[in-house]
Amino acid sequence: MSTAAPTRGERHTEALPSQAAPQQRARTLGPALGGLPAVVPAVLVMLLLTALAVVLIRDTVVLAGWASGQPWSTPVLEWFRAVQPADWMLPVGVVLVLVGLWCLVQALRRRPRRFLAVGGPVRAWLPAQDVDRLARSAAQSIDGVLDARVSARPGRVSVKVRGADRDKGELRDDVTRAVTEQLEGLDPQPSVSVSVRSTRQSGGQEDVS
Amino acid sequence: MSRATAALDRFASIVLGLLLIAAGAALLVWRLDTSQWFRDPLVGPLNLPVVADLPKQAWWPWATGLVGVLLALLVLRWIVGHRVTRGRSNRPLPGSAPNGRLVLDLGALAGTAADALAAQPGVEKAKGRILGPPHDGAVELTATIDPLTPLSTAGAAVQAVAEQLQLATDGTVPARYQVKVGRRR
Repeated sequence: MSTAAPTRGERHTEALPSQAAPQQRARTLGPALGGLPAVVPAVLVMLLLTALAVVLIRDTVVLAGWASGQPWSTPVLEWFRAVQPADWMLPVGVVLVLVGLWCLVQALRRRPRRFLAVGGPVRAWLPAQDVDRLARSAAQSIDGVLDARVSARPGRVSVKVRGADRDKGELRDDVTRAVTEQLEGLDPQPSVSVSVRSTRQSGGQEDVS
Repeated sequence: MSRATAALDRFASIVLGLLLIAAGAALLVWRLDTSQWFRDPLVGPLNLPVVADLPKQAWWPWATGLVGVLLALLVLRWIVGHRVTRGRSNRPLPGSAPNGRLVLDLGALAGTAADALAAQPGVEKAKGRILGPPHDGAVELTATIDPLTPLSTAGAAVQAVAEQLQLATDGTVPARYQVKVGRRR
């Protein structure tokens, strides 16, 4: 048995205890996947079909004489007897095409994978946005850092710090070391790049490196 | 959500997308009168008595009723497919006999493992839960750490609890481990 992270969509195939060999290793599951993007247009379809079903069933009840009133579908179908091109068709046509394209894109999108692996024989999964928080905290814990902004992408973390009263090179080295140590264990280990904008407290001038 | 429901969601999205694009393009072509560029079937007023006269057909009330009920049933079945299914709450253990059955309570296991994880250095709090399909019979443990705790500490905590879980269950219970970063206090 392997403890390595399984690939996406892996099926659950481990044996039941009664059939299992002794000393087997527990399987470690891969990260949770995000929601299916196609659910949103699918809900739209459900709502449209529900509305259509309500109208059709109501019309049946009315046409059968079980309730009074006029069928709702008749005026809609009557519209097709003499319909002419009109100006409203331009904006409505554009909107329909755009919404249709959006539906197609949602239908074909994969479930988002928003976790990064924390290494070791047993893998744990860290939400990708939490990398920002870890790196920012590490940077802000360094003396002389007034503010830190982090942009994390897979394999790369960029930190922009605003510092005061310290040598920029020294500050950059300290922040790089702190962020690297904080993120040690991420697999793959991201490269950390730090840019320092120093603020002279007295003059208010800024200098970027 | 089952694979069939997910496939139905994708299929419905594709059908809706294509229908909307076709309808939108038809409106644009009709209004812009593109007959000078290509053979345009949509020119001038449109008269479709075939559609307008549908309610006059004898079978119309039956058709509306039948289609309405079928659509309602389809939507109901579709919604049911989206319900969140709970995982099974226990796993059978070896040693069961006709006069008694041994089972492992997965909820208790997840709770105890979460307590063990919360007791690890660097872990602020932890929670455990049973997973549903497609990982039926597995548990998920989530550790929350302080933003100043090195990630390697969280990795070591997970490692320690994974070893305990391995020992306690003979490696029969698959697990997913998650690490979250809490807000700075």
